[in-house]
Amino acid sequence: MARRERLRVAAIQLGLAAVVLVVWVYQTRTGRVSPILLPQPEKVLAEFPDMLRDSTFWAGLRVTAVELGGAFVLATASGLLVGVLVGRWAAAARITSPLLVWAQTVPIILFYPICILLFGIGPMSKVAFGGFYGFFPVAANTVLALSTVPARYLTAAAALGADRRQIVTRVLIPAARPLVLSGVRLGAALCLIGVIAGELLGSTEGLGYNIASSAGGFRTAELYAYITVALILVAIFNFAITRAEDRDASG
Amino acid sequence: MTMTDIALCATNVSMLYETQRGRQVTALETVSLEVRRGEFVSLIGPSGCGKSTLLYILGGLRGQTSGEVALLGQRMTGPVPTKVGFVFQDYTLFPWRTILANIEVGLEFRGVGKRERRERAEANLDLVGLSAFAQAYPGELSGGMQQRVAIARALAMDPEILLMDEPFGALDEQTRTVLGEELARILEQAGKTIVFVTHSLTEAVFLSDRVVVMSGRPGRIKEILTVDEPRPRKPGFAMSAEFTDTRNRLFDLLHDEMRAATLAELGAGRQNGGRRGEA
Ligand SMILES: Nc1ncnc2c1ncn2[C@@H]1O[C@H](COP(=O)(O)OP(=O)(O)O)[C@@H](O)[C@H]1O
Ligand SMILES: [Mg+2]
Repeated sequence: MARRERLRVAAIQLGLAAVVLVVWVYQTRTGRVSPILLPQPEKVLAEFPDMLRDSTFWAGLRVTAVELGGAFVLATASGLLVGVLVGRWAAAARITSPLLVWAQTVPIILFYPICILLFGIGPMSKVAFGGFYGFFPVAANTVLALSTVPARYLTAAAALGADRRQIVTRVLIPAARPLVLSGVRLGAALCLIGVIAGELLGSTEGLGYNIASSAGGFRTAELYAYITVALILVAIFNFAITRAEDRDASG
Repeated sequence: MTMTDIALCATNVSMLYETQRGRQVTALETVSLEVRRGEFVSLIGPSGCGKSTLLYILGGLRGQTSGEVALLGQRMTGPVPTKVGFVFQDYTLFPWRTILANIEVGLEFRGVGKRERRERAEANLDLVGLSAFAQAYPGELSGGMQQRVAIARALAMDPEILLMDEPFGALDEQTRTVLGEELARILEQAGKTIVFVTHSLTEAVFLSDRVVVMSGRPGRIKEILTVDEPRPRKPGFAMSAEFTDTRNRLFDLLHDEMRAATLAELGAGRQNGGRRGEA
C-alpha cells in the first residue's frame, strides 16, 4: 500500500473513533442515557489515577497476565506438538484435519464448568481453559501447514543434498511457518478470550473478576476503565504477535 | 572407451508405479541408455511416456523397480549433488528465500562457508544475467526468470552432469526460443554433460548431440537420432539441410507415437466408461 493511501486509511479510522467519542459525550451530556449504563467519558478517565494506585488493580492485572501467559504457552506447545506429530503422517492428517477444523466451531465455553471441577476456581482453571481454547487453531493450522508443504520443495532439497535435519530446518519449517504463525495468532486471541471469560464466569481474582465485581456493584465508571485496560491488553498482545508474523513475511 | 568416459549408464531399467487406486502402471520398460561425458542428450516423447521418471532415476532421486544405473562407473544409490545437478519442470525455488539465498542453498547444505557461498552464488547469478535480482524473492520474478535462477542454483554446485526436465516447458514459444539460445551459451561455457527433457523438436535438434525418442505405455526407447554438427552451433544451423532433415525425421517418429498414445488414451477412456456403466 502506498504511503498516502495508508495515511488516508489511518485518518478515516481516527475519524470514526472521534465520531464514537462525540456520540458518547453528547448522549451522556444530555442525560439521554443513564450513567449506570454509560458514564461520561471524563468520569471513566478520572477513574484511572485511582485505579493505577489501587493494589487490587495491579494484582488483578498480574494474575490475568500470568494466566494468559500460561494459557498461551500451553496452547502453543500442545498445538505444535500435536500438529507436528499428526501433520508429518499423511494418513493421520487426513483423519484429524477435519476434526480439528470442526472443533473450532464448537462453543468450547461449554467445557468451562469441567475445567473448574478439575482445576478449582483459581488461576489453574483459567490457564487450562484458555489453553484448551487456543489449542485448536494452532494444531489445525500446523497439521494443514505440514501436510501441504509441496513435495517438489522436498525433492529439490534432496537433489541439492539436504540431509534429514536440513530438510526439517531449511524446508519444512520455513515452508510451514506462515500458516503456523497465523494459527498461533488466532490461538493467542482465543487464549485471551478464554482467560477473561473464565474469570468473568467464576473466579476470585484477575481483570475479569474485577470487571464482574465492578458491574455487580454498579460502579460503572470503574467497569469501563477496566474494560479499557482489557482492550489495551488485547491490542498489545495482538500487536506483539502480528509483529512476529510480519517479520516472518518479510523474510 | 573406458568406463569413466560414460557419465551415466542405465541398463534394463524398468519402473512400475502403484497408483492410488492400487493399479500398476509400467512407466518404463527395460530402458538402456549411455550418456558420454560432455554429451548433450535430449529425451523426447509423448506426455506420460516416462521422461521425467527416467530423469529422476538417472539422478538417483527415485529408485527403479529393476535394472541398474551407474554414475561415472559407480552404482547409483541415491542423489549425488556434487556430481549431478537438477533443474525441475515446475518452479522449485524456495519462496521464503531471496534469489541469492536460493542459489546458495545447496552449498549451504554442503557446509560451504558464507563468503565462498556468496561469491559462487553471485557468479552464477551473473552467468544467467539476473544479478539485478539478487535480493528479490522468487514471487517477484517471471516464470522464465525463475527457471534461469533454478539453472544458476544447479550450476552453483558445479556438478559434472546436469539433468533438466522441460525447464522451459511452461513458457511461451518465443520466450522459450530466447532462453534456449541463452541456455546453449551458458551450458557451452560451463562444459557440462546434459540430459535434457523437452517437447520442442527444434530445441532438441538444435541443442543435442543425440536425441532419444521414447514411446509411451510402457515407456521404451524407440530410436536415437544423432546430430553430427559440432557444438556450439551457430543460429544458421537451424536453416541447414541437416537440421531440417533431422527435425523432419523426429517429427515422423513422434507423430506415430503421439497418434498411438492418443488412441490408447481414447481406448482406455472407453473401457473406463463401460465399467462405470455396469456399476
Ligand atoms: N509418483 C507416481 N505415482 C504413480 N504413477 C506415476 C507417478 N509418477 C509418474 N507416474 C505415471 O508414470 C507415467 C510416466 O510419467 P512421467 O515420467 O511423469 O512421464 P513424462 O514426464 O514423460 O510426461 C505416467 O503414466 C504417470 O501417470
Ligand atoms: Mg514430465
